[in-house]
Amino acid sequence: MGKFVKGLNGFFESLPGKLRKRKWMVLAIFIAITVVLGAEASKIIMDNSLDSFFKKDDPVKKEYDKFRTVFGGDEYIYVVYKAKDGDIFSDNSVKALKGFYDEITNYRLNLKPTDKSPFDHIVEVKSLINLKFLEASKDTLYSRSLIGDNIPENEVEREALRNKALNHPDYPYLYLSKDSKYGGILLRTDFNSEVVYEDSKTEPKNQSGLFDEDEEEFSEGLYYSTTNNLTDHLTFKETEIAEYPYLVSALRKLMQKEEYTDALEFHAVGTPVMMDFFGDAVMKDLGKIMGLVLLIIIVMLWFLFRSFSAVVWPVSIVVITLLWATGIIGWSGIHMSIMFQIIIFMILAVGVADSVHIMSGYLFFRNQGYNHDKALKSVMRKSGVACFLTSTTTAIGLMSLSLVPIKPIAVFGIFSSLGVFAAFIITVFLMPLMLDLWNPIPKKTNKKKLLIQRLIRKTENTGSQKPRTVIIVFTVLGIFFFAGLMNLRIDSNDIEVFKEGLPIKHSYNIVNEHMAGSGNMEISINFKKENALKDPTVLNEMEKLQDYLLSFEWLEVVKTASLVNVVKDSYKALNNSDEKFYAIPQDPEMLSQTLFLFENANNEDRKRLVTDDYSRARIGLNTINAGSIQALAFQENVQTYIDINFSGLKEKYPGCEIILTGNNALIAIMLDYISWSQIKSFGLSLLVISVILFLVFSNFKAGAIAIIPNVFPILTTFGIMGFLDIPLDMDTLLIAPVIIGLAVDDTIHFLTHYKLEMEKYADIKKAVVNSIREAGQAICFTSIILASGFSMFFLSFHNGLSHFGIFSAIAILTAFIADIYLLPALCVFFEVDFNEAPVKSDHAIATNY
Amino acid sequence: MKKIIYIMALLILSAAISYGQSAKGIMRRVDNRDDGKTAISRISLTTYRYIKKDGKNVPAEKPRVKIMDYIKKDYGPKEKDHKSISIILEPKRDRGISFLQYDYEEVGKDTDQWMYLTALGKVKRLVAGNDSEPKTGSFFGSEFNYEDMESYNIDDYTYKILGDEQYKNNDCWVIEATPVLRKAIKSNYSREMMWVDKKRDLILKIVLFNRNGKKFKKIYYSNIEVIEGILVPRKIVVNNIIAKRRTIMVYEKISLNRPVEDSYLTQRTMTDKGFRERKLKEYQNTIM
Repeated sequence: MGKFVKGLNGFFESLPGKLRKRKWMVLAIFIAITVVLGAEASKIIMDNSLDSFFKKDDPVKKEYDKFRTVFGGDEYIYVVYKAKDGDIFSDNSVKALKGFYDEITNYRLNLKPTDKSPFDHIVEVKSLINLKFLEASKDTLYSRSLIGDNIPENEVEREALRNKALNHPDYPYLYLSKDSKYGGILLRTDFNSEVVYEDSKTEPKNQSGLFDEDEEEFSEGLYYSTTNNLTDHLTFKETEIAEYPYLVSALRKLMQKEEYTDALEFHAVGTPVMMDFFGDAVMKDLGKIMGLVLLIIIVMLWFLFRSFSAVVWPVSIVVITLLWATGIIGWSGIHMSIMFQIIIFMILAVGVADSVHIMSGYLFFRNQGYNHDKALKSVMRKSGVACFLTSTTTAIGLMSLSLVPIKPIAVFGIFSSLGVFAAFIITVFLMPLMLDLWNPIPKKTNKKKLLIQRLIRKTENTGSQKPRTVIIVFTVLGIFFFAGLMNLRIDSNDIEVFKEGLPIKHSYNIVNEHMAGSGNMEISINFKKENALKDPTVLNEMEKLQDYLLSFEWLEVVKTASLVNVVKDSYKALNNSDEKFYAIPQDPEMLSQTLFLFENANNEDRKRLVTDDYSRARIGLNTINAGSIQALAFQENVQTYIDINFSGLKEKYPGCEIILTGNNALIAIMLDYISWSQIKSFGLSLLVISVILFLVFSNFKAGAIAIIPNVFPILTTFGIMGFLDIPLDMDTLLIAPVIIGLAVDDTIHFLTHYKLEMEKYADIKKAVVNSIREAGQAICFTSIILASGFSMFFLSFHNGLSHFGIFSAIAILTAFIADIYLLPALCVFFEVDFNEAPVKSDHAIATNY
Repeated sequence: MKKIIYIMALLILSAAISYGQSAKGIMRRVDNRDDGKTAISRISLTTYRYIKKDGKNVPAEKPRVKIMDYIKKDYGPKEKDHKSISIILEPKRDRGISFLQYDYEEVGKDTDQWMYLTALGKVKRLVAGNDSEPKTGSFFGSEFNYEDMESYNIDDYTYKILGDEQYKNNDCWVIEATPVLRKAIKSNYSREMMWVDKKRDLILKIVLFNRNGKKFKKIYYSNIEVIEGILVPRKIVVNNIIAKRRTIMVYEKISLNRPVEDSYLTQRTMTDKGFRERKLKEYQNTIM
């Protein structure tokens, strides 16, 4: 392996000469690739759906999909409106609501049959206008819309309506707030709800005519029992991402109509709204931040190098790299999440680091009096190899993330490692040609060192002079931050990531403060026996479970909805609306006939609550927005309750399955993945990088020592996060692999220089100081540039990204300090001299030569 | 030459006009076709959710079967008002549940409906009562809703002949019916396509589009027999494409134009078990 590195030294040293010979061809190839990939960049698709978080074959996700094939899709838009006059039952408010409702439900009246409309995606609307209100008097059963066409005309009618709505057990919080200042409209969409059959490729055309082309064949003979796994091969047709903004913008236009905004203020929440927001916001945010970051890089480069070419070339390299990376992403067609920003930034960081190392090394040698050609060769020999090693370790470290079961993180791993490699290729092939074309001339005025350089100069001996003290200081700090790390929470909250002041956050706040909350969970109940849900004892247990859920203390369940609710409502209606009969009829025949009535009155609602054969049912939960920790603990509690209280029913219905699922439950389970995969991915990256370091330096001691300054920044960062009570979530958890990727680069740069210096002088202290002078400058420059760049993320709309940026900046600076002080101290203290026997495996290779 | 073109144009034009006129004409003939003044029948309703297996749609679960006796009588000068009673035989648990329904031709006059639940032992009048909204009710939990079962008012739609084609070896007109505004507001459907047998003035198939403009249901009329000189489709199948469910309605027994006493189509039949069973036996003896 030692020979391999030597070989690389030679290869990179001669690279500028080789490139010069085929200058035009190289340029042509790079321009061609850039143009081709650049054109693909516009195809990037943003996707923040729940689906986007799970890999296709995830068992938890599959379970939820099965649930959805039985009860239908559940992508709702929940429109909450606030009455501007403080009363949703005032004449103005009701009329505005009615107008709004009519526009959504009757939009087709003015359209041609073949016209497409965004509202085609809304398959059901539920609001105070059309809620089916059951009431009875004198043996007449009325099933009428709560308001319908009968807009109350006077105070008496208005109050009667208000009482009806507020006293209905299922309406408050969902369709109106307790103080009737807010109302809610539920819009069910058809997004991701269409089931596709995997074996539906062969579609025999049977009697299809000109006017009805999709006639299908039926075979009524055999059937499949309810217990077998016939839903296993069902999947959902993914809705085109573009359909989200198509619907949401149309809805927003409607919500901004003056005739409605005069009376009502609308707030829409729900998956489609979130998807629309992310589709737009991520790119805008990225544009804003990226612009600032590039500006900062330009300023910093100028400040550090004081030369136009030293600014133009690194920036060009970064821009080309980004075009390649975005092009590859766009071309791949893989949907991007908020992680896209981190991918882009990771690639940008590496691009900057690579080009600054080459540029800084080049200037270092020019300052030593080398001519252009010799300086270029020397820098390629040293820094070129270092860049190769850093890029490889970073790429491999990031690639290990692709094993994480959370899709956005796996995608991040793959694309950022590709990007890192692209950055390396572009730097080593284009930078020499660029420097040939136009190179920064070292100026005498530059002699005056920058403050930071002077500081390094002053302290360059610290590590080598007082290694013991340095190691002790870092150890104490390490223990201190470890204490913070112990406090670190792992928690994800998809609403809390929005910063206060954003309209979407405001809408979610309103839903959580005044209405049913934005959290949603489902309890899936499968008795695996026909008509089990017509058994009063079953419904009794479900009712108790619902009561238990509603009384839950630290996660507020606002509403539960199941077959129990409609049974009680129908039974009461059958008994002349007598409040005493708001109960589950205990006579099985009565229960069966009550259900018969409900099925007759509203079969569509029935299908969403219980299967046709009454073997499976659901309980829908509306909860106040909760973090994943809460949701996970909630899940455990509910499961325990079920295990204890449903044991009797489990005897009666063996094989009965009751599980908690739904969006929030899934996110909670994902959290479980995070905590595990986090440790795994972190451990994996460390392991992979250690192995590479062992191999590269053919030295066990150097390899082992190299790991320490890379663990330190992570300890510091997560320690601080622990002290500040900032949770580790989907975004901040990426700090670890990103920082390992970047911090290891500094270590490698230092150690490659150190090794070459050791070969030259065989004097540890001298080698340490020279390495700090040579590589330290570049390490310092890249750290400053990247830290200031990363900190720009604090401008993001997204708290997760803000935290990611700020703490990454802290980690980069910590890594720099560790590399400049701790690493030299360790080298001196442990006498890393590269003279010990090579690592065994390497020895074997070496003797083969 | 000019003259020929002129004549051709005129011919095409007049053909087009007569085509346009005849769409409603065809539907009027369909609507006026005699369906018998009374019907005494036993109906089975089989409903199941289906999935696709090897290119064919097969039941995903055990189909649920409901069997009922259905007795209908026409009233009014044009025999366009109907009274009907349905009494459930199966499933056993629901045996004796019955529905009494009076439909009126008059525009704006709502259907009267009563329900009798044996467990409750009382007749309840059912009022759905919102004019400007689609009805949500389902016919005995099947994929037929009350709108599908309602008598059809020809003036609620505008018609267009889309063309003609063979459907199951029958020469058919394909006619598109679009509800007029007052109907569109309260219909579950935004459009219908009908295959009308040219020879027999009989609808053989209907494709219904939902309020989102998407194909929603297909209804097929088959096993057409001549009973008492009247054409009767003994099997009617509805396929709900969106919910992936199918209901097969079969007249297990049917006889037309046999006498049905007016008193049988009243609430007494629902509550008075003796009366109901005795009369039913009497009627069914006449059934083939």
